Amino acid sequence: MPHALVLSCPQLRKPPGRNVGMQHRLLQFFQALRAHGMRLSPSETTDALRAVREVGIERKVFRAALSTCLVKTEEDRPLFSELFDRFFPPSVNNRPRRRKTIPDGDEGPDPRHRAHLGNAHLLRPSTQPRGSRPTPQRLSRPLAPQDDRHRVSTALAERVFDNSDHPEAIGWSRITDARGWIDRPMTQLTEADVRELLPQLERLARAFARRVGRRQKLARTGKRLDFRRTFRWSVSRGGVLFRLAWHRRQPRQIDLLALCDLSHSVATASTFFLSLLSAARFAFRRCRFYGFVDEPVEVDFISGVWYPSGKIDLSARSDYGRTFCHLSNRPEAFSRNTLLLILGDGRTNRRPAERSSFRKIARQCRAVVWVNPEPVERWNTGDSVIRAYASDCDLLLQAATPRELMGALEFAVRRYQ
Amino acid sequence: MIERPEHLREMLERVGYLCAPELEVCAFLALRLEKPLLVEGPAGAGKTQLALSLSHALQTDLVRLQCYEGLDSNHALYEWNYHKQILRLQAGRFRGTPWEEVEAHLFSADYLLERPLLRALTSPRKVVLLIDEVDKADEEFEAFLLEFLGEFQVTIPEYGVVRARQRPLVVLTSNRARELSEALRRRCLYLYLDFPSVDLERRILRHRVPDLPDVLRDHVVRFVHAVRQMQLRKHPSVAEGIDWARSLAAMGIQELNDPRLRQTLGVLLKNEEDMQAVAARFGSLLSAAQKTARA
Repeated sequence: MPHALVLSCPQLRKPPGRNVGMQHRLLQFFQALRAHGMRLSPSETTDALRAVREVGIERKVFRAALSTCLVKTEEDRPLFSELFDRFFPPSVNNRPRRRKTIPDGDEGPDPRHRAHLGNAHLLRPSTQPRGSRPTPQRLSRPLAPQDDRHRVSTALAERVFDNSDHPEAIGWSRITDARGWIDRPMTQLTEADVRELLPQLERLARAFARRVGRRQKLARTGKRLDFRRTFRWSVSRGGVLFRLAWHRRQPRQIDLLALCDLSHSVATASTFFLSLLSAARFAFRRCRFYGFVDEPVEVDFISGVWYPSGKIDLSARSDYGRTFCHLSNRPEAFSRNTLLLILGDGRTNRRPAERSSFRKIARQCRAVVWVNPEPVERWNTGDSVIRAYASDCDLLLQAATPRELMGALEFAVRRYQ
Repeated sequence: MIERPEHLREMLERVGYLCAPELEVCAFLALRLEKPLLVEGPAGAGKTQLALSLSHALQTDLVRLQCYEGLDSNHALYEWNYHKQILRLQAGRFRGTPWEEVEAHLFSADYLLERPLLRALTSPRKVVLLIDEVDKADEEFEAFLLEFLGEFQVTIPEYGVVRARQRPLVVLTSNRARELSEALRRRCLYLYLDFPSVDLERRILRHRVPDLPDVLRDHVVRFVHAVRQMQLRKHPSVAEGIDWARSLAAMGIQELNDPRLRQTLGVLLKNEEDMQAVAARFGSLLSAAQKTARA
C-alpha cells in the first residue's frame, strides 16, 4: 500500500536516493495515525507529501504543513501532536544519545503481556531498554548549516530514519486489542478502562451523531409543490409560472427523555449510553437525561462524566418501581412528542415493580424503548422483572457491546423520528 | 511568485495583518497546492480578516459569498435575469425571427447575472474567493460546494461549460455552529484560528493604535484576555479589542484605574448580561490585569 501511494503521486517519482528515508518515515507516520483511529484519505496523505516537498523539513514549518493537511478537526490534534513528537523527535541538534532499541531478531514485546486493557496507556511505548546499538558512522558527521535546505533535510532524514523506534515497538498490537473494545461486553469494562477509552468513546459518539443526523436528512425527500410561493413568484414574471417552489418538509421534532440505571451493575453501559445520546442532542427538540438508582435525578453529561443535579445515592439498591412512580408524578417531563429511552437490566431487588405507573408513563409518551445490556438468557432470572415492563414497551432491545448499543439506539431513534 | 512562507508573512504584515504562528504556512500551502483553506475558530478571531488581508497582500480582488440557511446554487452561482429577458421579449421586434436566434440572443452573457462563485471562475486574474460562514449554509449547499471545489467548473445548460481560467484561492470560514461534512474537510487544508496570544495582541495593538502608551497597552491586553476567560455569551473579538483601545486613546485615558473606564465597556461587550457579569467582577479583573503585568 505505501508503495502504491508513492507511485500514484507523480511529483514523488523522482529517482530514489536521498529522500527515501523521509518518505518512508512519513508513510509510517500516516499508518500510525490511521491505526490510532484517525481517518486519513489517500488524497490527504498525498497532499501532505506534496506540502512537505514545498516547505521543507525545518521542524516548525514541517509540523505546520503536516497538521494543516492531516488534522481536520481540533479533536484530532492531541493525537497528532503526540505521534508527531514520537516519529519526528526534536533531537536534531543534540548529540546522538544512547537509543533504547530492540535488536533485530525480536518482533516486539510479548502480546501476552498486554491482554488486559486497563494495563497501560495506549500510546506509551512498550520498548524495554535492551541495550543500545553502536552509533553508526554517518551520524557522527556534524549537522549541515541551516541555510542549505537540502543538506539539512538529508541529514535529518537519515537521523530520523535511524532512530529506530520501530513502529511495531510502539505497541501497535496493543492498539488492535484496544480496538476490540467496541465488541467487548460492556459489563467486562471497568471504570478505569472507560476513562482510558474516553477519546475513542467521543469519536464513537460523534459518528453516532452523524449517522442519526443523516437519517433525518434522508427522510426529507419527496417534494410537494408550494402553490402559494409559486404564484407569488409568477406575479413578477407576468403571470408565467417560470419557477416552481417546493415545500420544505419539516422533520418531526421529537423530544428525548433518556433514563438510565446508574447502579454498579450497569454503570459502564450507562456511561456509553449517555455519551452517545448527548452527542446526538441536536437531532431532538429537547433532550433530558435522568439517572436513577432508587430515585430519578436529572443529570448532565459533559465530556465523559455525568453530573447529577440533585442528590443521588449510588450505593443504594436499584428500585425501578419507585423510580417510575416518581417519574409519573412529574407529568411536565413527558409530552406526546417524547421518546423515552431506558437503559437498565430490570433488576429491582425484589421490590414492587409498579407496572401501573410505568404504563401511565408509556401511554403519555410517543414511544418507549428499553435497552437491556444483559444477555437475553438472564432476563427474568433472579430479581429481574423486565417481563413486567415488556408488554408496555414499544421496543425491547438487547445490547451487550458498545457496537450493539449504538445500533440499538440508532434503530430506535430512526424508527420514532 | 512567493517562494517561502516567510515572504507571505511579510506581505501580510505589510498590509497590517499580523499572523498567528504557522498561519502563513497554511496560507502558503493553499496557494501553492491550489487547495481550498478551511479556517475554523471562535467568532471574532480574525478569519474573515485573513481573507481580506490575503487579497490585499496578493493585490487581487476579493470575491465574497456570505452563506446563510437556505442559500442555494441560484444565489451562489448564477441566475438568468428573467425580468430583462421578458422586457426584451415584450419590447418586441422579434416577429419573423426564428426562435433559435431569439433564444441565442436572450440566453447570452448580457442576461446572465453572475453571482460570486461564477465571478470567481470567470475572472481573468487569480482572485481570493471568500466563502464566509459556511457552517450557516445547509447540507445541500455543502454538497454543491464539493462539486465546485473539486473541479472549478460549472455547466450552464443554455450557455455551456465555464472553466476557471485561474483557480481562485478559496478561503472558507466557519464558526463551528455546525459540524461540516468530512468530504468537505478532506478537500480542504485546515487551520484553527484561535484568539491571539498576549504577545501577538500587544503587537497588533501597537500596529493599529500607535498612540496608546505602552503600559496602558499592556494592561488593556491583559484585561481583554482576562475577560475572554470568563463565561460570557459573546467573547470580545480582536476587532473589538482594537476599537476599545482606540476609544481609550480618543478619550485621553492614561491608565486603567480611570473612573471613565466603565463607560467605555460598551465598545468591548455587546450584551447586557455580559456587561453585568464583567461589572460584577470589575475590580478583580482590573487588579489581575495590572498585577500580571507587574510580575
